[in-house]
Amino acid sequence: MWKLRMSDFFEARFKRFQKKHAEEAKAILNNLDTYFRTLCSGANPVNIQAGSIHHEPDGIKAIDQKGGKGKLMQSRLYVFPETDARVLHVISIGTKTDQSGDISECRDYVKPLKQK
Amino acid sequence: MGSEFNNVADLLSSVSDDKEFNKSVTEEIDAKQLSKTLFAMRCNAGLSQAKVAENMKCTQGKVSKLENSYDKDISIGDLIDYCSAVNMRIELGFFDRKMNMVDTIKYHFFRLKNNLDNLIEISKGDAKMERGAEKFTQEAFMNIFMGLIESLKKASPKKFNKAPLQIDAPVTRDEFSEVVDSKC
Repeated sequence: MWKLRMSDFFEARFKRFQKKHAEEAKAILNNLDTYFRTLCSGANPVNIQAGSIHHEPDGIKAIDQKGGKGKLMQSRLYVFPETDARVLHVISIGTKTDQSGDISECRDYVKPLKQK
Repeated sequence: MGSEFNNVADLLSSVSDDKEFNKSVTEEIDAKQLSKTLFAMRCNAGLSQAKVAENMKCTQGKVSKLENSYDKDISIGDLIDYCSAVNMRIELGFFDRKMNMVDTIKYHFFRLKNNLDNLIEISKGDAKMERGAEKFTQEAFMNIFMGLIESLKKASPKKFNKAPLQIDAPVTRDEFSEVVDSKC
């Protein structure tokens, strides 16, 4: 069974994001739930393909707000599936405009995990 | 190390104090259990939406829509077509709402027993199949028995952990079968 693990800075990021973009947060969490349940069902992360899942460098995945109600702002939740440990790291969340900074931060977060 | 959670709902209640928001998210998640299962089945089968669409003889857009639908909006016909396209069979069950967990366990036990009895029945008349059915039944017996022992240990740990060493007299297969038969 997989576990979800938050980064130390996720809570603050999420609170800020949810305040400004509640519908986007709702849609993203629903997509995260789908991704997580699929991992728990035994699927290989490589095989989890959907329009709402974007493959970023270093095995990082970005989950977007597709499927949400109304015209929503392009947003991304960044996760990293640590397959050996069966842990899905929930790293950060932001709008697409913050993407390059967010991905850089996620790569730093993931570096020690990949060195294990 | 960050906090760990078994599901998204628990993670959410940890990061958000907004009860209304949290409730709306969990309601959304709960209303899409079936579509999430369809998505997971497709990924487990290693198939793309495009491939499933080809197998269903429909558009990729329709597959994407199904995988994001509310459960009440998925028709039985679409369910049948989708499952067929990912090489899965559907099994529908109807249960009395009054059934409790004990009833559910008994139900599954009798289903298991019926399936085993059917396997033994269909093997009759073919010596190779009969040997296969016998071997499988013996393996099933051991696996189920060992699994139940584990459950029993959890249910009554004190009885099992009473003495560091317990020596029982040897039990023959016939004696054991007698005990099992008397319980069934």
